[in-house]
Amino acid sequence: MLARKLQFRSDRAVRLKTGRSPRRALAVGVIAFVAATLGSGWALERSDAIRDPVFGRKEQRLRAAARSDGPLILVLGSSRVENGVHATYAEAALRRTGHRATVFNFGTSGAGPLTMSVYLRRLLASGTIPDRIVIEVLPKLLTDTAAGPPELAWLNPERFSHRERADLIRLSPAGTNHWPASGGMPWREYGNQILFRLAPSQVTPSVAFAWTHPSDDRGWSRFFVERPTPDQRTLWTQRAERECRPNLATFQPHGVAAESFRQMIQTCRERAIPVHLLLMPEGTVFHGWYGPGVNNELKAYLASLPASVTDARPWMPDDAFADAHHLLPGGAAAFTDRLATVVLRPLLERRSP
Amino acid sequence: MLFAGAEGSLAPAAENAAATLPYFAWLARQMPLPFFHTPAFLVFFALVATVYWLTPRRYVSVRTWILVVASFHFYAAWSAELAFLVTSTAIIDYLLARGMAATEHRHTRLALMITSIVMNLGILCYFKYANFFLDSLNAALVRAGAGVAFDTLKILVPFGISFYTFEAISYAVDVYRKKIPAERSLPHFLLFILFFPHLVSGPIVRAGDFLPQAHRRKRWNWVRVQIGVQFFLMGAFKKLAIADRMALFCDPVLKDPGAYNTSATWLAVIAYAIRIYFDFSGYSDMAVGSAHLLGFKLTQNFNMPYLAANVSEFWRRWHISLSTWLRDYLFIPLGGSRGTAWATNRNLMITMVLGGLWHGATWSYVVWGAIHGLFLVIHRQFQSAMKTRPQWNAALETVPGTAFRVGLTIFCVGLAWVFFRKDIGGAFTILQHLFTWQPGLGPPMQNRALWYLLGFVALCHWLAASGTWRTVWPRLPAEVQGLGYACCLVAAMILAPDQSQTFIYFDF
Repeated sequence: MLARKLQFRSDRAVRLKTGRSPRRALAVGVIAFVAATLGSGWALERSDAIRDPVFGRKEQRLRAAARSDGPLILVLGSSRVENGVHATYAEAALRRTGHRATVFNFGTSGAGPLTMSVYLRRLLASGTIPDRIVIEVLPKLLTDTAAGPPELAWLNPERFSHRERADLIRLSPAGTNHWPASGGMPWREYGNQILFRLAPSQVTPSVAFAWTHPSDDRGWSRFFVERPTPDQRTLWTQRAERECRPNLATFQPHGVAAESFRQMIQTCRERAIPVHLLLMPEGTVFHGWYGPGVNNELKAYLASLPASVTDARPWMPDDAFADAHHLLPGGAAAFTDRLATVVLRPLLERRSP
Repeated sequence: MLFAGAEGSLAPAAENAAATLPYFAWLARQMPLPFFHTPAFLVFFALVATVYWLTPRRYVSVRTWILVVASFHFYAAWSAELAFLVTSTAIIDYLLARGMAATEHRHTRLALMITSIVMNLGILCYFKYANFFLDSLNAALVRAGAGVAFDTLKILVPFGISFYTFEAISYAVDVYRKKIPAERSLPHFLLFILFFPHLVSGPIVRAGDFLPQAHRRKRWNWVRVQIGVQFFLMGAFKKLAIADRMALFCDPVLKDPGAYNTSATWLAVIAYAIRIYFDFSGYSDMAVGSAHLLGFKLTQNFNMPYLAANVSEFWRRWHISLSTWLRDYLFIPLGGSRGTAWATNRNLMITMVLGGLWHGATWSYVVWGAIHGLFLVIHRQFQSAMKTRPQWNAALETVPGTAFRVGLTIFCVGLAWVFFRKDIGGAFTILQHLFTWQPGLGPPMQNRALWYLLGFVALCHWLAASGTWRTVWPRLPAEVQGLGYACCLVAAMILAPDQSQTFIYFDF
């Protein structure tokens, strides 16, 4: 009976019927769509955690960590920091020297001066004020190219609100807009972020992996391989060379990237937060990728900035790295131990400017 | 952008030679791809519909010309030369039909009809099949040890060529058979061929259905607008939220079938079957919706084909405008089912093989058509055998029996889709991965995501097939319906992947 009914019904052409008030239905549809678009656009503009899940996860952990006793030391940086600064080790190392502090690793994959400056501004605006800040210096990302800040090559602008993007655009000395146009349609622009909240299984694995990258309570992410094979090391190092070497041939910091970096330091000084700049460890292969004279120019540039600097580039042996600039878990532990002694302890002992 | 940026497989308009003319170059920049789900199309459509409906309805010819000019521009934005070509052939078809109408001399009428058919098929063969034949010939020569003899042609295949040539042929045949009168008005005939909602991917309209509508004075009708909007939104949802999302499951596997394991390949085949249906029926719904918004009713192209209980029924529900065209202008003229069983089966095979070739100029489409022809022949033989076994027939009519038949049909059709691609070698690799255990990469997306979507698709089919939707939807308050439209659009935009896919049927 059911089968016959089903067959009978489905044999007919599907006809869409409408209600009795088509005008009202269409008007309500348009109004509802416009209202929902404006409302969600406003909500997404204000919610960093939904728009930028990477930041949201880190911030949530930072808030939890900030409840601990002692001053909060925030380490801002890229994936090098994310993999290399084992904040829990740093806290333990500081405790051994009689210092009590909370160290939080706010390193995120692909972050350069633009992302770091935005993240710092967000944290300060939300009331999470660190007592000390360590900022990673990434020489390869401080010089704008003709295509704009090099960080834009992999930075997804959706992570930033329209106001943040406008602020960054204003920093561009040429006044040019290197930022991809946003559609103004939040459903399209933030479709993945909304899906990530509502139906995470529908988000493509590559995107989901970037947003759910595992890290510990203090923000440290273990490099995904403990002991890479020689072949893996060679492959990853070659990739690092492709990504980094072109931007290390010369060093003339200018443009949005350099201005963002300078403003970040300025913001810290205005808030009376002691700031320290850190060049993360690099392997000997990586040292060879710097163009002639770049090291001297870099030194001169860093000396011109109103912040103390530690050049940790030669600190670690080559076997501590996966690809000549990302530290393996063992390397991270050893590096953090030294960082705590050489950088964090003096920073804690320093008074606010 | 309102919808995702569509990445078309069509050559970018700006690269075409016609784009060197400043006006057409400008036009190409405005609407580089003829896809309904692009913001450029929505702007174009809003402009055309506004001008069309603001023109007083007593000026039927003016309104017709507005749509003809708009349709020409829609095509010319992609390729001006080919837009002129389509228009020129349509004018010749119009004149040939007028010639048929002007004489009662049978041989003259036949000659004029054949001229029209040869011209349309000649253009179709040149643009779509010339390289296929040359490649096949070259391959045969290489196999015979003679080396490659012919260079392939550098041809830009006009989009929608398979659709509008079939429309023109059916018109010539119908006029010859005196089934319809030859159209007197050139603009109305041009509109029949060029009408932009059906120009690029059908449905294949019949002159007998379309031309009377073109002549009718049309009033603005809110019910019709609502129907049009409903169709368009449903089509957009099918395309963006289901078909494009299914592409995330199947495309990586189908591109590199050797790299994935057996379970990933099975999931990809299921996803591809869903994708191809929702992609094409979504497009058709958008075409039907756009036409409704301009006061025209196009034939529906799909009727829940995956609920068909056998392959024969599947073809009555799938791409209905093509299957009825093949039935009326190929299968029946070949003799249909009037002759012996062998003759009928032969006619079925010829029709389906040519139907397969219509879809694309590669051997894999021919194989796909032949497989479906074989399915139809087997089903026909099975039906004959069942006539003498009423108890078996009764068992197959029960709920489990119907479910079994529907499942078997989906299985057969789904497996045949493996050949619905340009690479026949890849199709065999997929079959090997389906039926022998193969290690390799897992599915490109989480399995759960696919099952959720399949569950949703099954629920929608149940709502439509059981009549629940038809009963409940019109009785809902207008406010609820309006909210439904907004939700449908929002859901489509959220679920659409970052890079929206081109329509599969644009390739045909």
